[in-house]
Amino acid sequence: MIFLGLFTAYLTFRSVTPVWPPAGTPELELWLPGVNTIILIASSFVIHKADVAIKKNDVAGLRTWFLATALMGATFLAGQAYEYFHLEFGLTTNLFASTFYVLTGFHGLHVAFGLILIAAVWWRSRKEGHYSSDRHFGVEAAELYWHFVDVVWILLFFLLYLL
Amino acid sequence: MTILRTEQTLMQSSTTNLAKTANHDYLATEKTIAAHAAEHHDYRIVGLLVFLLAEG
Repeated sequence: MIFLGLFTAYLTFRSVTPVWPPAGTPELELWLPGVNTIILIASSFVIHKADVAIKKNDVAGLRTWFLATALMGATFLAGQAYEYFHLEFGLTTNLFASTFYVLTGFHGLHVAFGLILIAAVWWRSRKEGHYSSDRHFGVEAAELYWHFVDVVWILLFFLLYLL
Repeated sequence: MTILRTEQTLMQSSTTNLAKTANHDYLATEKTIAAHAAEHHDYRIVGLLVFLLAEG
């Protein structure tokens, strides 16, 4: 409901503003967020490999794939931070800028929280027997959350960068 | 996870006492229920889905 509310607000602002983004707003670069999008989508497949691994009792596989997912997530955040530092508009420049930072920033917080979840599962998996083929709810929960973050980003990317 | 463990501890405690006072094999029954709960973590998935719905 939170993201839905933010998307609705963005679309409402967009529909009632004659020119969108407002005149004078610097154009957004596409290459960096595009690469970031590919990384995040790919990370969803990578984290699924971890789920497949643990269902075969392959804890080493689980740890490897979770580590790879975490690295991809961290790369995404680093890319977003780089974009923030190089954007030619700030939080209060205009309505588009404000909604842009709120949407991407809120999503970035979710990615950061996802990284904490992944790190927690990775840390707990070091103990032998903590996760197994028939006992791995933590793995599934982290994976589901990560897919959610991924889907939200796809919608966000489409709305902010392509539409 | 903690809730599940607490439930299992309570179940084991209560069934031990019951098994002492009755002929019925409560322990086996409760163990079956606990195993089922551990195996089918439906309520946790539901909780997570509700959380994600609230977020999304």
